[in-house]
Amino acid sequence: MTLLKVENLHVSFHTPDGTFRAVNGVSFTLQQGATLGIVGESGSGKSITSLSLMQLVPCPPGSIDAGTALYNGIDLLSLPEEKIAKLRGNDIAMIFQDPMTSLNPFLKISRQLTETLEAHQDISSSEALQRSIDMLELVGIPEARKRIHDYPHQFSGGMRQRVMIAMSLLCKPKLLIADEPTTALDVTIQAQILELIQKLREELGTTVILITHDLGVVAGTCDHVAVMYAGKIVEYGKTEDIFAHPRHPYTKGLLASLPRLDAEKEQLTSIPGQPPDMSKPLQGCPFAPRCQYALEKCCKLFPDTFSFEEEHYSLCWKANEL
Amino acid sequence: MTNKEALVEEKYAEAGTSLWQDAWKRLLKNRMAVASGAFILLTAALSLLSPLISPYEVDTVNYSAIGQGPSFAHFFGTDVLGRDLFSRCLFGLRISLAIGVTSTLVTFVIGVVWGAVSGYFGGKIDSLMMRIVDILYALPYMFFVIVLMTVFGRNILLLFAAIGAVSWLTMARIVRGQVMSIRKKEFIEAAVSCGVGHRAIIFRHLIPNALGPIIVYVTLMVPRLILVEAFLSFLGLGVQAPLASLGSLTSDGAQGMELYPWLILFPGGILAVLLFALNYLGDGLRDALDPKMKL
Repeated sequence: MTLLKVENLHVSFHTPDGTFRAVNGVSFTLQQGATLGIVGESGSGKSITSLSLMQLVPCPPGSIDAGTALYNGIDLLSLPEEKIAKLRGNDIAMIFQDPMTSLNPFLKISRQLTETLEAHQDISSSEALQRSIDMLELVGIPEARKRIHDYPHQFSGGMRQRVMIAMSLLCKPKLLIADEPTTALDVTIQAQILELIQKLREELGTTVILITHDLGVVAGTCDHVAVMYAGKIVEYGKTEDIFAHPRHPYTKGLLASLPRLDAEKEQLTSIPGQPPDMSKPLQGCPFAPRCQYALEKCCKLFPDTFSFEEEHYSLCWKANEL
Repeated sequence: MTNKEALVEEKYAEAGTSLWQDAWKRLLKNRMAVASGAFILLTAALSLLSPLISPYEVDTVNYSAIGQGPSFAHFFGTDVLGRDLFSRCLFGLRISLAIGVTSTLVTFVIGVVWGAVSGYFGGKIDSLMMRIVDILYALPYMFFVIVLMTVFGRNILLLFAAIGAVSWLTMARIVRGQVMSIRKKEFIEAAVSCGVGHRAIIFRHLIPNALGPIIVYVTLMVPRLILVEAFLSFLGLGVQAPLASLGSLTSDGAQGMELYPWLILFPGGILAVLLFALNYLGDGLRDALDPKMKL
């Protein structure tokens, strides 16, 4: 069953330096219970895509210019503020990147957890507290009954991210957007948090959008991958297809830049150049200036969509030859 | 409890110093601020207890003791009508502190709510609310108070309200600035993404986080408003006889200061020391609430 269908999403930011087109026609569908990984470098529009699903893009300076995002038949993008506020936290929840700054330092954990429940459900405060404690136990916080009365600064980074996950899952949302949930954490904690998200997804049947720039994270957790570049999905497909046969030079570059234990090379491969200036109108393929396979045609014409295995597509003129 | 658990317990207890506890520790290390705080508490207690401890009534005229210097019968001497200056000073202190605290409360409530709403919503609402503040700023505010006092009569409650109503502007600006910077923080975004409403975000998340600078401003506001009242009383627009404030007592004393210098020295001195202490406490709080200051 399709839970979310995003079509032709355009988001831009209007600043004194010009209009920055952060998202340029993103489309994808998400099946219930699936995990979609969105990868791409900083500024490729990953976070803005997910923020606009909850209407959390700051307007102004931002504006959602076009597109639809059908969630169970409701268009999230055109929903009035009161209605989308009811969905936030209840149907769609979000985990943010930095657990150190995502909790209010002046409020006890208990208050921040019960607050979410109170906003959506008509339950007594003791019941809200009990459910918060249960959720903290579920995400693996030891002595949850006692620790729930602590302040955020009394938790370590990994524990705080667990609290954030507990907070986002309290109302059993159908869609969980995890915006680089492990970037601010060290590698061991990172693995634990990903495992936790995976486990909770299976237990609660939550659909997950995982935003990351770490392909290693994607490989272990996602069913599908969308590679974003310059506000567009340049390649999309099942995780195994993308890893086995990347059909876009950018994806290839990203995969090549992963550190490998079995390689003897000491220097990591990198993709030369910088992402394009999003305030200028794009001509041709946005990746062309950095692409080692670029043809003359690439600089003039935006590539068509080339389809491969089931659901796998790439936006590159040379996709067939890669 | 095992040894290990006890260790864990101890660790949490140590980590459990909140921002406020840190600030309190820093404040206690500042001797001048502590002395000022103690002095303010003492004067506040004296003024509250004044009906019990005043040796004379505030408005008892005693023609057999006119213009007497300080003595054991009259600690601060008597004025030209033979009223006991010590009793009048205690009473005046009470009025002055009441005016300072009440008008500061009025300032606090209006300023914080106005500034927080303006800063949180931003955009057109912010522009409109801040233009209103700008317009009120442009009015000469002493003139504004004087007009209010002459139109509505010299009611002491009105005096509180009038002073408070014109001094919330700076508070609103400070709070707006704070709120605008805190609003961009991730925990606010996280709260919004959890579906928390505007009201809860403003009152539960934004204002408590902005409270540090607000508290400092409040402590600096009290002496300023006491001074405004003193000035108004000096002009004859403030507290009217037979009631007294430190300002009106100083004003009365100034009229006969060549013959009866104690009439200006005592109330003026108390006013000066009180203002000094309040300012020092405010300074101390500002330092204490600055997390960058070391313990």
